[in-house]
Amino acid sequence: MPKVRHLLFIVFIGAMLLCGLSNPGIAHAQDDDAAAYGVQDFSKRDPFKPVNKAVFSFNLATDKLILRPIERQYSKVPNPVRNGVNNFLQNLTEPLAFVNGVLQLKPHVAMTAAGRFFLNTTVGFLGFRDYAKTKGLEYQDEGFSKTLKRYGAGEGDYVVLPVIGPSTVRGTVGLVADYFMDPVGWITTTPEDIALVSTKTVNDRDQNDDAIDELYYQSIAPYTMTRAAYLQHQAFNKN
Amino acid sequence: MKNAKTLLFAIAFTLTAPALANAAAPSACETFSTTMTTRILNIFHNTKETPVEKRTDLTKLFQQAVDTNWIGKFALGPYWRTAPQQERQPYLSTFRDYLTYIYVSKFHDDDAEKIKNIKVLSVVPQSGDRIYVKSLIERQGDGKNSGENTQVDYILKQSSHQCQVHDIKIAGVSLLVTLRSEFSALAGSAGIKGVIKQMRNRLASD
Repeated sequence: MPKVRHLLFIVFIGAMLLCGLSNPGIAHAQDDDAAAYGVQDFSKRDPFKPVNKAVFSFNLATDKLILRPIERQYSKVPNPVRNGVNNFLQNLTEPLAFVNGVLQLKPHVAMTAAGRFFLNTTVGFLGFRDYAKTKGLEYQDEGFSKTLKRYGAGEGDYVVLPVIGPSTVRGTVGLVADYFMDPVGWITTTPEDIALVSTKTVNDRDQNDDAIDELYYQSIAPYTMTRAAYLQHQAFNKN
Repeated sequence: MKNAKTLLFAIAFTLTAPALANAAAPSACETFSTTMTTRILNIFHNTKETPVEKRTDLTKLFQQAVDTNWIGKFALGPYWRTAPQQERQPYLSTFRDYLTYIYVSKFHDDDAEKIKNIKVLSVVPQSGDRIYVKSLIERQGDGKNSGENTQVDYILKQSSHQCQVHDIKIAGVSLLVTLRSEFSALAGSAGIKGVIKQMRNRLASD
């Protein structure tokens, strides 16, 4: 555990530094119309572009050769079953949401996560049914990235992660921290972890199928389009 | 980032409202953006038309409603101003087909039926004869995005003779801003010819 704590500390400090140094990168609009429609120069938030592009190419190839074909087969599974799998995986994130709710000093977030986990694990058949939602307890996407945000960390620059895809510096740091902080991860064995990660990867690909197809396969410039779409969506979620 | 096919296509055709408004007053945009949602839902829920017929209807409406010429020019940014005259018209006509394809290809009858309602939340006039419309798409059914509400905003522009769509924002992602980023990057490296070629490749691949 001391090693984990040490790593978390390094991650946290790294996050602070990188987020602090990052540039929001809103360019001056080239004309009145560009300004009026909110055009931004997203390249200014992409200082790691050479690496990001290489990882993006890897992700594209991985998706084309492995993930997409698997997802196409998985999509044939009836909706209720796929929804059940999604609910099950979502339920496993509730303990982490609880931890982050506590770290953010938001009791309602922590209590909602705890309530959802209890209800869905019991009445919801180990989480396969989102029973808590019917009782007004909506799912909250809470991770360490939001905790960092809560304490003033900026989004940071654009980063493309292997297999996972687009993110930001803060998102990446949050993801690493979540990995170590996740209570579920403390009790699962390595084979169980592998099974969960594999299932989650296919499930995520299925849940975001339309967006990924659009960005990867329908765009005439997939890298820039993905970057623009992701950064706009992040800004929207911030509001 | 859950840009479901249904959603994209619903959005696109929610926006056809202003195209049918041949009036100059901003209020015409406001009125039609409200009433058209009903007409769009009628197409979605029409049990008499085949999916192919619906797609044809929606294609016509889309091309009337969306100012593809303006969007096409905007997407190129500064490269439009320097584009050779002989490349401009081929670019705009290919862009029109490309944008229509992007949206109309999303049409899936089963998904369309799951759109329960399209609520217009607010219509706010902006500078430059622009009108900002906020709407909410409500879904039903057992699909992966069932029960999800998605905010869709769009910007209408009132010209002297009609009202047309200039931008669509799905969950904060602007069509216009994204296209500008995508197209101007490619135009910078491959030129207008390169952009036209890429669009034609995309159209030919399906």
